[in-house]
Amino acid sequence: MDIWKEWSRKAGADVSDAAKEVAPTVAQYWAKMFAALWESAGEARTREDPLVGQEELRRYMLVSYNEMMKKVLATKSFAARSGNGVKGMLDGVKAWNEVMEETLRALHLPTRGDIDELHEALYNLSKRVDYMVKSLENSGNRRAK
Amino acid sequence: MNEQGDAWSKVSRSMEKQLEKCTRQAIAASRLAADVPAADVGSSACEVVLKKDRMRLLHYLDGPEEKNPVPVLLVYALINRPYILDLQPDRSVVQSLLKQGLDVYMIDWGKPKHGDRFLGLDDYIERYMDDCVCAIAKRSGQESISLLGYCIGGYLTSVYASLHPDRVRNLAVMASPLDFGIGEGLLHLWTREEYFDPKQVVEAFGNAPSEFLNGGFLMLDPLGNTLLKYLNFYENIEDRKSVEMFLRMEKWLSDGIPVAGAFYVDLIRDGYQKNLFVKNKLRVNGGRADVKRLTMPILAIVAEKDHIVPPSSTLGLLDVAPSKDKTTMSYPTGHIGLSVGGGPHRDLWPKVAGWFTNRSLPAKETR
Repeated sequence: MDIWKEWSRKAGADVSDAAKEVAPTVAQYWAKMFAALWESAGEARTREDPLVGQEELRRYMLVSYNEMMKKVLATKSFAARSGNGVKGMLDGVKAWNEVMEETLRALHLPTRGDIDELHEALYNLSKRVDYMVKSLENSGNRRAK
Repeated sequence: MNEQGDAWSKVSRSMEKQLEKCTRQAIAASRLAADVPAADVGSSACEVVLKKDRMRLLHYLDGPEEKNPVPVLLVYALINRPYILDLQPDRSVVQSLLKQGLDVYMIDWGKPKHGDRFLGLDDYIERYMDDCVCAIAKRSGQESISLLGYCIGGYLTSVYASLHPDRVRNLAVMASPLDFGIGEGLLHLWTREEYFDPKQVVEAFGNAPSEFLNGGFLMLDPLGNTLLKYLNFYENIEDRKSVEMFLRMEKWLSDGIPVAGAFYVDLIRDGYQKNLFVKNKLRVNGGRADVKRLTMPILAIVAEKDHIVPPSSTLGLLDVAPSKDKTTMSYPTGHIGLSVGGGPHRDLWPKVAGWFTNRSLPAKETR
C-alpha cells in the first residue's frame, strides 16, 4: 500500500512539474491560434473570396500547432518522460528476449546469445586478420621506399 | 436583403472555385494511382572498385574525360542509404561534382545484419574508411585525397582526418554533428546521459533498428514530417515533377537501415553525451583523434533551417581545428534540402565544387 502511495505521489509530482514547464507555452500558442481564428472570422465577411482565408487559416493553425509541439518536445520534462518511456519499452523487449532464451535453452536449441558469441569470435578474428594484413602492407611499403 | 444576397453569391463563387480545384486534384490523384511513376534513384553510372564485408566503394563514371587529379570521396551517414546524394539527375550532388570535372567516389556502407552489432567507430574508421582512402589514393596516384562527409559521415571524415592528416588533402563537412556540447537541438537534449542510455538499445535489439531511429527523427518535426508533408504533396499533385520528387524522397525515407550496435553506443556516448572529439579526448583503436592535426583546408557546409543538426554543431569544428584555410558556406534550407533542393544545386554546389577544384591544383597554382 505504501509503495502504491509513494508511486502515485511521485507520478503526481512528475505530472505537475511537466505541466508547470509546458503550460505557459501551450497557453501562449492556443491564445495566438484563437486570436487568428477570431480575426479570420471577422475578415471573411469583407473578402471577395471568403474561402481563401479559410485555407490560409488552416495552414496557419497547423503550422502553429507544429511549432507548439516542437516547443513542448524541447522541454526537459518531455526529455525525462520520453527517456523513461523508452527505457520501459526496452526493458520489456529484454524481458521477452530472456524468456525466449530460456525456452530455447530448455528445448536444447541454439539461442541468440549463443549465435552472438559466435559472431563476436568471428568479428575479433576478422579484425585481427585485417590489422595483420595492414601492418604487413605498411612494412612492405616502408621497405619499398 | 441585397447585402445578404451579395454575401451568398461570394460564397457560392468561392465554393465553385474550390470544387473545381478539388475535382482537378482528385482526377490527378486517380491518374497517379493508375500510373505511379517509377521512383528511380541513384541512377548515375558507377562501378564498384572495392568490396569488403557489406561495404562497397563506388566510382562514378560520368563527367568530362579530363578530370581533376585529386579525387573526392563522399562519406554518407550510417543511417539511411547514400543514394540521397544521387537522388535524381538534376538534384544529384554526385552529378554536380562530376560536371565540374571532379573524380567522385562514394562509400555505400551496406545494411548491417545482426552479426554486425560489434562493429564500432574504430572499425568504420580504421578498417573500412582507411581501406577506401588507400584504394582511391593508389588508383589515382595521389598521396592524399579530398573527403566530403554528410551528417554522421562528416563526423567519420573529421575523425579520420585527425588520425591520418597526411592522407587527407581537403576536408569538407556538411550538416555534420561535430560539436555536441552546443546546448541546442532536440537530439542533443533527448540523448543526454540523464535521460538515455544507448547501451540499453543495443542490449535489447543488437543493432539500433531503423524504425526506432526514424521514430526519433519524426518527432523532431511532428506535423512537418507527417500531416503537413502529405497536404503539400496533395496541393502539388498536378505537378508531375514535384510528385516524382516526393515519391523518391518517400522511397529514401522508408529505406532506413539499422545502425551497428557498437557504433551506435560509440556515437551517442562519446559524441552526443561526452563530446570527446572537439574536447580532443576521443580515442580510436588506441590512438588519439587529435583535432590539432586538422591543418588541411576545411569547408563547413551548413543548412540554416537544419532541425536535425544545428549549424553551430558543424561550425564548432572550425573553432578547434588549427587549419589556416577555413571556409563556411550556408544555405537557407533544411538538413536534407542541402543535398536535394533545387536552390542548393543552382547556387551552392557549383561553389563547393569550385572550392575542391581550387584546392586540388599543384601547390603554386592554388588560390
